[in-house]
Amino acid sequence: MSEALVEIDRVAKRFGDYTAVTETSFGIGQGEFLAIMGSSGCGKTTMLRMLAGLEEPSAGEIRLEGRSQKGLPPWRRDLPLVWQSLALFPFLSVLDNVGFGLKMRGVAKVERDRRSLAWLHKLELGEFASRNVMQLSGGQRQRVALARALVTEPKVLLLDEPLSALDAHLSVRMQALLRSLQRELGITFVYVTHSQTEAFSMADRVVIMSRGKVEQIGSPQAIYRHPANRFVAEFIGNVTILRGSVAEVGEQAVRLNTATGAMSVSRGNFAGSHGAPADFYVNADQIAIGDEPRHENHVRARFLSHKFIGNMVTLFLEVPGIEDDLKVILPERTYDCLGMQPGDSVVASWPAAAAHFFGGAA
Amino acid sequence: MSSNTSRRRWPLLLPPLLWQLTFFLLPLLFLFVISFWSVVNFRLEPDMTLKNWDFMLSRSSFWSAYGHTWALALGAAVVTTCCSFPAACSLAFTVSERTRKLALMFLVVPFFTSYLVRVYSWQAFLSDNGIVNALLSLVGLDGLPMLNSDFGSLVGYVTLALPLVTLVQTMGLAQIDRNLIEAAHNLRAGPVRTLFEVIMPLAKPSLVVGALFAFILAFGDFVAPTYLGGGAPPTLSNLIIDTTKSGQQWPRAAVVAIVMILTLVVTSLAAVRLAYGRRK
Repeated sequence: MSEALVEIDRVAKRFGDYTAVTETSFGIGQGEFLAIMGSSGCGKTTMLRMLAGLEEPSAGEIRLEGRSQKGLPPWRRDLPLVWQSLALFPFLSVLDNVGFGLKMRGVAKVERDRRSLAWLHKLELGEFASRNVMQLSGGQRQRVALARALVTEPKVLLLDEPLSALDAHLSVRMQALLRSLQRELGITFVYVTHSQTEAFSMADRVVIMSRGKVEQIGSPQAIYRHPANRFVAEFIGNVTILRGSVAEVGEQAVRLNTATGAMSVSRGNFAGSHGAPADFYVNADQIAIGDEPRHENHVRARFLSHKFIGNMVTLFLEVPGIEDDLKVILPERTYDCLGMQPGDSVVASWPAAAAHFFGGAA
Repeated sequence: MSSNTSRRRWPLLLPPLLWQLTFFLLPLLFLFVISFWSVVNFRLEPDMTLKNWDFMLSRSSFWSAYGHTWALALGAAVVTTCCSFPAACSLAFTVSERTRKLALMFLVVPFFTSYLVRVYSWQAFLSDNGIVNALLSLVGLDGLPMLNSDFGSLVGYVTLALPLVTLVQTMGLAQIDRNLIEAAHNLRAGPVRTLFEVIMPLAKPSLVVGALFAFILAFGDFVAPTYLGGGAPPTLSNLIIDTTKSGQQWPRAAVVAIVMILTLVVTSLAAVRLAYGRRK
């Protein structure tokens, strides 16, 4: 990551005794859409505020294009932020809100109005230029905030849960707008959110944080397929975590003895020894359901319940000897063909390739 | 149902209504009526004459007192606002909420002592042989005439209005959404530009209302212009005292009082409009 536009180098933030962010390093590339995701209090907003210069790191430093930002007040940085509360100036018109950053840079009024108006037109707000921001709808204000941050043509745009106040329908439309804007402008977006849908649908890479610690950084696919640890697996929620003791370490797979019998797990770079306990996970969308086992790992289970998510169905199965429910994700049509009723006994099976050790996959 | 409850609740409105009637509306009405009475042999006699109005409003001494009072009150509003603002800013932005509440409580303490006493103590500072001039002569400067001047009056007005204005400003500033200040910083506005471009517009209502309070207090005050300003040239309050003392001219004093009330009503409406006026 030596080519990174933004480098976060051993950055930590403490507020008195409370550690908001523990020592963290990662880079953000030119033109990358990076999402920082986690539940409230995980340190994601503090991270963003440190980037904007609104908080000074307790340790480490942040570099923008190789230049240390240490001690640089927020008004000397070029990292505009789109606020969760939008923070539009209520005493200014839409046009003057958008032009504020230009005004602070000493751009003359005619030029500043021209550029602001161009952005308003781009975001379909041209007709509202002379209105007061309070007269706009939530979605319109959202776009004003976006225009205000983008009008100065920054290299990096910071976004702090910008869509959390919008209804689902509007949020989806804004996601598409943000993604296409980011591609078109080729600038770096750092997007903080608690929403997995937002992070996974827009970002090139996702940083998952918990209690001030980065749990995993990777592409949405990589995180989805190969959660780095139990926290990420449970946070993403698309796998079932199982436990066994190592019976045999093979070339491709590792045999484990579990409460429900012997199972094969992809070896990856697993380094455990014979007899050692090991956690592994099974991807929910790679499990087959039927009357007969179709893959080498199989358990007999009782169908408990199901839940629709879009055109996919998540099934919850009770397996004797396993504490958590076994999660299975099927296309809705496949589920329909099975014609299962709650309480039915089924066989769930999966290949060794669907099961992995944490941190094992490269 | 709601109309039913409001019907049942209206007796609760009686006390405030009664209060307004007894202590405000009736005296005001009486003042208005008196302004048409006449004084015969130093005694008030009910009458229906315009001669008090004619007498006061046609005199240039009345209008120069009016102008003087207006200028002094405006000066008091401006000076008090400027003196309060730095203090209000530091109370609103730099201290914890706990400290702020404590400080606001201490702002009320000056009201525990009589305003007259506070004004008298200023005499010791401002008189020709007073403390300020003594300090000035220590560093080799000539003494300044401060007592019995407009400057003296202004000092008194600021003494009167400063705590209240600081209170109003602090409460207004403390309500400002911190995100807006950070947003300004984020858009490259340094502290000074943030003050003028964001904080002042957001604080406008409290600044205007604070200034209005200072104006109202100064406009009607007679202690400061009498004991620090020397009573000359007179303010309207000085004029009222003079008029009532010389020949029991209560009707003429009533004319002055009504003009003062009207002035303050118009000024207040204009100030409220300025403070809360909506953008298009």
